[in-house]
Amino acid sequence: MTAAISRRNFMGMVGGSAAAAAALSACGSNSDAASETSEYGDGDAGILNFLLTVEYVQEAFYAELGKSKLFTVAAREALGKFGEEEGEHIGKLVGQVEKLEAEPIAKPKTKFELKTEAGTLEIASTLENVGAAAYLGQLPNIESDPLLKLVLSIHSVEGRHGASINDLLKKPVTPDGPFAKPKNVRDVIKAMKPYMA
Amino acid sequence: MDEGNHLSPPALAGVQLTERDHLSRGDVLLKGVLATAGLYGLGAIAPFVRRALADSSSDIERLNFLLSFEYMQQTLYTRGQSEKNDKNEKMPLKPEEKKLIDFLVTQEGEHVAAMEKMVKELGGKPESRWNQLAFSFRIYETLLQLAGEVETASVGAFNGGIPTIESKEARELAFSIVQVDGRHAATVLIPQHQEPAPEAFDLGTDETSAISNTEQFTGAFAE
Repeated sequence: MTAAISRRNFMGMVGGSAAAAAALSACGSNSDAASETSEYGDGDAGILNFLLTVEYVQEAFYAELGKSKLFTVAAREALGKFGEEEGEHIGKLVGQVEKLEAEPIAKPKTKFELKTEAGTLEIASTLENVGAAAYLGQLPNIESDPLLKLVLSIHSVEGRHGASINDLLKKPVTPDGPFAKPKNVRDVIKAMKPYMA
Repeated sequence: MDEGNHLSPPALAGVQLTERDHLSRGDVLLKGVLATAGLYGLGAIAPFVRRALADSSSDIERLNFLLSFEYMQQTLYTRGQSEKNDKNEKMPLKPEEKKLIDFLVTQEGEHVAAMEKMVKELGGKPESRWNQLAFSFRIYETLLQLAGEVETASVGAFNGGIPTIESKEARELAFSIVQVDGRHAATVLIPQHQEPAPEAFDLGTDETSAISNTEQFTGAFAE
């Protein structure tokens, strides 16, 4: 996106239907941050592969949105900026998994039914807010300091994305209140499962 | 906000200062206040030498450093909430603007309270690295601009500082807060027609850089 986003412009682009969207709970679970990433790999590599899965789903969503006829071109581009950032996250995470001499996880197959603008933004809200909670859930489990710094730098950006989408939907920008809550692997995958084929 | 922080009347024309009572270690020059004063064509201001750059050798010091950024945010929003600008003139807020500022004051207050509690649990005394805070704004739009700078600086300070914290509980608290500060940053950038996530990575800043990034508000110069 080259033009700056404004809420006014953004709201104008997406129309009133988005604001009237039925509320979906972005963070429906207050589960603890227990890490069960062993199926994604050992140690930090497993954590990164789990987070990579989250990023792949997010990126696939924005790619699908970009191909849709929903929203104006400008709005699709604005939302696509988030997709580009997910792509940058993926690049870094893949590089770090490889540095750990592990195999980056394959892209999951995804499915998105983008029928309405409001419904599409609700999916974005779920993916971004669950994504932020997924990062928060894994931060305490990371052993390597350089990797912790990387994951921290992505974590707050996911929070920014989640807040921005929620702002469009007139939902709370901090859905958990003043303290963000983590989600464990099971709850993250459960929330993303409707979008994974 | 702790009792040590209060809003002062305009100590100088064009610059409203918020004095704080307690300081940490490491001498700094409050050159930001001087710079702000210069911007508004003010006369001589006594140079302050304060302590902002501490030797963060303990979790207490590290948390107090991050707590200082929460004090900064809380102070800025409390100033906005007063609906007076830096000349103590009325700056009425529209209902939507007031709602946003009230929301931010409340959440930053929760952060301050939780971090103060954590510092105490670790056996320390909550304190700010800033001796005083100065925010120059005439209108709401400028207040929002400062908010964007303060929130972004805070996210950088947290992302840079968290890896140095040893206490598991303190780390987890900081993890939780930095996500919310990132959300706040996006929330104040959107009405300014700014990208809510201008970069793909919120890189951490070290203490020296974090102090430099906010010296126009704190006057604290990292020597």
